[in-house]
Amino acid sequence: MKQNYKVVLLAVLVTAGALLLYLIPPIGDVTKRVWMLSDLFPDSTGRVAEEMPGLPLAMQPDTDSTAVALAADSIAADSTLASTDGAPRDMHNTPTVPANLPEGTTPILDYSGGANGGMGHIAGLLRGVAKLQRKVRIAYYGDSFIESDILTCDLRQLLQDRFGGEGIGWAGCKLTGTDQKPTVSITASHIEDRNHLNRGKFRTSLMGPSLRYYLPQNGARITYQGTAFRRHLSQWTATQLYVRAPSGMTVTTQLPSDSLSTTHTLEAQPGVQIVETAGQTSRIDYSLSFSGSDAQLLGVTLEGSTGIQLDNFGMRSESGHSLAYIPDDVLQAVAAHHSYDLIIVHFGLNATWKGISNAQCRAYIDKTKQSIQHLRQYFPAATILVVSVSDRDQRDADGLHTMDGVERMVAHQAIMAQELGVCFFNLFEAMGGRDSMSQLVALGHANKDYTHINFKGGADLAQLIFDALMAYL
Amino acid sequence: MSITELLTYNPQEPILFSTSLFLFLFVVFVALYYLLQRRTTARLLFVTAFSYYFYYKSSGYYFFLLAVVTVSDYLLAELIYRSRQRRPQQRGVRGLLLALSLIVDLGLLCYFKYTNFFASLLVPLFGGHFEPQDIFLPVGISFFTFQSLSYTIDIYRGRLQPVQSLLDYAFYVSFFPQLVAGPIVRASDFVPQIRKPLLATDEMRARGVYFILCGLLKKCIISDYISLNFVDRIFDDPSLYSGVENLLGLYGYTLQIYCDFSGYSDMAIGIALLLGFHFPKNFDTPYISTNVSEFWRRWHISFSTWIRDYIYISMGGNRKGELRTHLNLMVTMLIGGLWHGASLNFVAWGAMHGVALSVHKWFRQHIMHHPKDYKPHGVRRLVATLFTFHFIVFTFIFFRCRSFDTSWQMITQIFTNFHLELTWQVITGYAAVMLLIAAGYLSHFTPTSWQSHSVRTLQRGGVLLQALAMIAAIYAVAQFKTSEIQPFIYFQF
Repeated sequence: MKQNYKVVLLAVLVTAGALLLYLIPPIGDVTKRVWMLSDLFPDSTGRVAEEMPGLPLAMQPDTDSTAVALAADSIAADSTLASTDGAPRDMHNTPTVPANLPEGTTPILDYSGGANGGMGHIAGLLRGVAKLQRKVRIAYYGDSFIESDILTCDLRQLLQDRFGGEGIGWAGCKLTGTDQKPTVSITASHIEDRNHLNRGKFRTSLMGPSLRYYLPQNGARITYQGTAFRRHLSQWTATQLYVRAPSGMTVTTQLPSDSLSTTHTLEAQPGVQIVETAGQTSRIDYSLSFSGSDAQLLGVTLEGSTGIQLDNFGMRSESGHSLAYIPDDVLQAVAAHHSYDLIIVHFGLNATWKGISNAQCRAYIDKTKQSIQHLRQYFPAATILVVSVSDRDQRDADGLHTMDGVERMVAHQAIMAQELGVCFFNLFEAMGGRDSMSQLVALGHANKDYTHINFKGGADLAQLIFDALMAYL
Repeated sequence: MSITELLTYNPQEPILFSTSLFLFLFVVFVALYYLLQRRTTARLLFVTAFSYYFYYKSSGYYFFLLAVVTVSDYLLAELIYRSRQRRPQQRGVRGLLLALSLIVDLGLLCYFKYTNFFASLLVPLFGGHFEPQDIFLPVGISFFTFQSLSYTIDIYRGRLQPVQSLLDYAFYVSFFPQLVAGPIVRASDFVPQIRKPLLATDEMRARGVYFILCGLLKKCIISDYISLNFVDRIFDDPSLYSGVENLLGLYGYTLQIYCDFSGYSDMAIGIALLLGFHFPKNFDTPYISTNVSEFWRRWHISFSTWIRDYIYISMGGNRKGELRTHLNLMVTMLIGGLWHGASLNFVAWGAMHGVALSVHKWFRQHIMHHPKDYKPHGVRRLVATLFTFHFIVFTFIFFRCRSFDTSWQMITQIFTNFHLELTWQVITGYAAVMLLIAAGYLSHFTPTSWQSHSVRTLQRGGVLLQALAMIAAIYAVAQFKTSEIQPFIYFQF
């Protein structure tokens, strides 16, 4: 019986010892303080009060439209946050928002003051889309958050449901580990892909608008087939192949409806050439014949003749800075054949880390501004929409919470939009603000890295962006 | 959080052995438990009440199901026993009573766990549109219904005497260490211990601490860390990862499920030992099995012996000819698969194991002519172990993936998009995860003498060493539980 009481003694010692673990100080970021009563009495020892002096945390212009301006003033006074591009800043530019914003919709803030880059261009086109004799084209640039056409496939579907249109838009020339899209079927042979993850093999000067290019061999073949993954993707009416063929190339295309194939001969010339194929189809086959080894493929577009086309330009681990290096000849060709009416720029996850400072955020947005300005040179009328970084959660002693640094980056992205005179959508706030990524994970709508959404989460967020766009109509 | 919120039912915060709440409740519980050591009935009442509270914390007011199963099986078993005593030849009445027990237990299990599953299969057959019903799944219902059924079936078979009172039976069914995640403790193993003089010897205490330490290491450090930081994200969308990442994720999951399941069992066994009760071993280094039959003798032993004794043998086992034996094996494993979860994926997993068991049995009997307990040696043993392990790994694709599409994606990535050149990058990129996976597998090969040596050391060190070891484990668990989530790593293709 005496031995029984040793169990009680053991339990008491373990409990007391576990409580005393609190006295062991944390060692840097390696160990954390252990506080067994944290559920009842949260530990505030060593917690630094969050301070983001002057940053526009509250960006609801309908409640306080001067928040951003006032906040920006104080940032301007902070010498560590000085602009590195030397561009003058219009710090007193307050945003406009839709007059009748539906309740619960996070607004797109338009800092253009009615000039280019604002919502006026895309809103006007969407209002009159039925009378337009052309497509309304949207480019959605992002990082791994939109990889696999996550989010964009649902945004495209919502827009095409409402305004018409068909096809996936831009597609690569090969499905790879970094570019898998269930929204299009691609079968390719004798083609190698190149992107910035292929260190040592990738040449920035060759990349296309998707930040990738492909190296074909003589005899290469590619087949595109529509899918039923989302509505409007199974068929399209116009196909364009973007090629660089300095030594010339023969491209043979075949649609299932045609008994004969069509041969296109590309002249030996530098710059981007486009092979266009008209006709409604659910499949197209390409075969390439050429001599030399200097040809590159940039991608194809599979699109309708009217309505909406939305191109997914997702590139994992991208910060958004590579956009500044898209070659001029590529953007010229795209602008001539494929001009965009709305360019969405959605980056920041790969540039946000725990404890990021104002100065580091400033340096990041200054470089991102160069990317956006580079695109604006070729698409001057296009609406530019900066989508903020989403919520990203990280674990600490109190559980899973928004990573320190996310809100700082959101605030700086808003300031970037303001300085550029373009539009801003606070995705962080729209998705629920702090800890909203944890809620998506709990619903099974995001991955357990508490950073990336899945297709279900993509549908949720696409609806938020769609509602914000529609509020301008 | 207020103390009331902490102590009342919260579906997001079930009480687990690895939580600080359990530690604080347990210290109070164990003090009162041993204060009542000479007052058996009061002690049984106290433990039963605590167990019901433990269940309430996990499943809210659904603890009444526990009471329904307990009372109905206690009464039915009593009636079956009396019928056997009075009219030994009249098997019909006893059969009806047993059927009633099966209807109550399996009816509850089917309603709460399988209604949506069966409806989703049947409704479309009749041209209807299936809308899933919002049915709460009470925690551990699969365990306590099976546990309680073993009692009525054993009484029916005349292998067990009824317990002395409803209190004894309620104590057995609800005993909190095994209540929500097993092991499935048979009445024949547990009931004789209920009213024995309470004694937790120094050796039992040392072994209890050893099992709790093992459980914490497996469940809270290895399993939780590798699932959050690597395995779950691979299974969420296998198509985003190369074949080598998928394969390593699959190896990781194979270890994770073992550590998760056996870790919780270890903690249950350890806590029971501290309370003076012995539970049977539930896992025995399953991944060193040389064939799938041996795997099932080492994996979730309380469950595999349960389905053997109460499903396979009830259907005739191997007594009704060879063809029937294979059919019985297949049906048993299909039910076994479905027990693990209400989805066709689990049925497919069970079917694969059923086929493998059947093939192995036939091959052993007709081709190899090996005795049942044959063990290969040398290279044969190595090849057989690797083959069996990879079969188990393969079947876990279907066990873990939410759909057949996802399973197929994973298989496609492994076989058509492997990227062997990434192996070292993935291993070094996820170094902590890979080290834990390697340590988990290597633990399978530690000599059994290490276990007895560790227990002896803990016993010699007395309460002080045992407490220090536990405190160190709590510190380590807390560090892993609050460690930062490892971000995605983008590999160079």
